[in-house]
Amino acid sequence: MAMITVPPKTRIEWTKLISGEIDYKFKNYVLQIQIYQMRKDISMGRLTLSAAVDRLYALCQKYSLAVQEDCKAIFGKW
Amino acid sequence: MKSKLYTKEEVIDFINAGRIMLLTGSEKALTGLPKGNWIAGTSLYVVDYEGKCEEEKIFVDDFTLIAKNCKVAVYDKNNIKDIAINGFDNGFAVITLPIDSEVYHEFSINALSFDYMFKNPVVGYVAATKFEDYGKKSPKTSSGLDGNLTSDLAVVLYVELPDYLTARAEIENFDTIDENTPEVVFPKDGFTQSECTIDGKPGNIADYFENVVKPKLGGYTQMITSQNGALINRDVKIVDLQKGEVTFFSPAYAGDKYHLVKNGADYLKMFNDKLGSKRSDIATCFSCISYFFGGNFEGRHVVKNGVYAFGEIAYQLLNKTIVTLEIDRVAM
Repeated sequence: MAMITVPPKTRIEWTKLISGEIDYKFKNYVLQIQIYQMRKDISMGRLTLSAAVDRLYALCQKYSLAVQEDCKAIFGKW
Repeated sequence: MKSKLYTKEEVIDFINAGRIMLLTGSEKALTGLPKGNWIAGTSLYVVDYEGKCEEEKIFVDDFTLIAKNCKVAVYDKNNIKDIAINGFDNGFAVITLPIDSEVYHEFSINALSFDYMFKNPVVGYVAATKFEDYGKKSPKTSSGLDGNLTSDLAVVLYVELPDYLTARAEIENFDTIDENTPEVVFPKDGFTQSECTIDGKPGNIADYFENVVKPKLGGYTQMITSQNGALINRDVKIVDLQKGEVTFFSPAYAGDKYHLVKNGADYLKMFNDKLGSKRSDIATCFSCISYFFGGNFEGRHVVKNGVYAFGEIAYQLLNKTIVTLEIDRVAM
């Protein structure tokens, strides 16, 4: 089976997904609410943008198969 | 092993054989179970392919075949915040907690901000009584740590998965947002709300329900919001006109934009179509009692047997939602 990957964490789109500059709704529930909660935490000073990107990236890595279509829509190619 | 109703004798045999299970049934059926790898909650609303809920039987969700390891824990309002910290590296947690208990309130308000909450799925249901006994009898939970039934503890079954499997929690909401209704925003988190803004103007939610919603729709319909694409319902429990308050079955969060719902049509067909089309294995599912009654599920064919409850859990407390725990085989 081919390796299923997500785009490198250095891609700017990860940051833009957190900030809302890219307004994309993941199909998977946990990604939806993780971003929802992290935006709240950032606005209340409980989380940095950098830490939020780390968490989003880690969760997408965990569910790399389930988020493939989302990643293609957001990132195009990687 | 199939998710369905079993006799108490069968369940005792399963426990003694070391099976890893979530058990659901009446308080009577769950009394006197031996120690083992299980947790339990009271609910009499289950759908089994034989179609009938029975007070003498126990509904079993069995995770033995997919589990590498398991552990059981109990939590109160003070330590429920550690629910995700105490899990395995790769797996899931199944929880049941009694409706209206202090641990239920603490979890419901704060779960999304618990440490490591999104690392692995946390799914489950709210233990309750028969609908007509609500407020009169206490719902119960118990676990294989000691078998004792209590009305104030959350019980959690942690299951570790082998490296080639991963668990994912998904939800289905068969209602949608009626964008033609006013946008309501609350200023604070809570089950009970009073002041709010309605289309940007100061208002009172009890007044809104009584004088706008009820005359128009004939009753108090639920509110719905989108949490970054996840459709989340808030079911109305009480409208207290004297206090000017509305209490929901799950807490509304400050800043979320709520509208009234647009109800789905044939819930049973939607349930069967949606769950029947999933490509992953569904290890368990928890659904709202509203679908059980409103969709007339009892005694009818459903593609996935499961528990129907007064609140479902997928990282947070949900209303009128279907929660599925799905198991994916990962590329190694």
